[in-house]
Amino acid sequence: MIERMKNALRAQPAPTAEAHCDGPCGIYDPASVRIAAEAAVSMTKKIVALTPPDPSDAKATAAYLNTMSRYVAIKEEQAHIAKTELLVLWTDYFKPPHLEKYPNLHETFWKAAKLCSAVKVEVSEQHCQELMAAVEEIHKIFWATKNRDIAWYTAG
Amino acid sequence: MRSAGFWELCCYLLRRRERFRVDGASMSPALRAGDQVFVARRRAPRRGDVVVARHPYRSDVHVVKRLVELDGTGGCELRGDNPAESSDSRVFGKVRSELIVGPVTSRV
Repeated sequence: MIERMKNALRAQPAPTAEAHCDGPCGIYDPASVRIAAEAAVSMTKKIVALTPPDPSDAKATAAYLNTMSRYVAIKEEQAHIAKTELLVLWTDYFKPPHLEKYPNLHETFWKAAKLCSAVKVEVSEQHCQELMAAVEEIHKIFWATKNRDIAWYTAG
Repeated sequence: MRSAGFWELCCYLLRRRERFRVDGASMSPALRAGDQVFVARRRAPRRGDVVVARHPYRSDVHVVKRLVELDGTGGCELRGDNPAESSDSRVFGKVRSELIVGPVTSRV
């Protein structure tokens, strides 16, 4: 009798109580920010270094404009990806207990996100350097929260 | 976790119990994925109880964890029995006691 009642109950849906990890995977790594930021920084350097051709050379001018357009498009795209990846880390990974330990966390992320926008909009090597410094700072905080000693490195 | 008997079913019929379905392996072997449990909403949980609580940062989510510590200011330390499979107070910090729905009293 009791077993029949329990079987009937079990067949009815019930609200879920989760006994697992948050999110689909829980895998976060500030390397995703670094790679996109590095790409945007690299494009900034290439834009600065690209020499305009003689305007009378139509073919060279076309090639120049094409290359410049591609550099600008990639810089904007990668700077935007870096900002998106920052926001994911900031809003999904970091929790209030982390903030207690790192009170400047919000300021650090806010500045880093602003620098992504600056690198996206401008051609500023100064802001590129500041962005990489901010990403390095976030790298240090992130791995410290996991009690892991992961050395900072860059691909470029 | 003990299996629900006559008394638990009576409590459920009298609306003294809520029913939840467990998802995930963090409370195995006490509770396995797919198990249903009864939760006593009106009973204050004690240290060591398995409890259902509202997630502190995702209001639409309930979690089922073990209450390993209850401090004097109403902060509850929740842990999965299987740390590797669990997001718990190590991730989201202590949970305010008002977010605890109640202790799990039996398995349906």
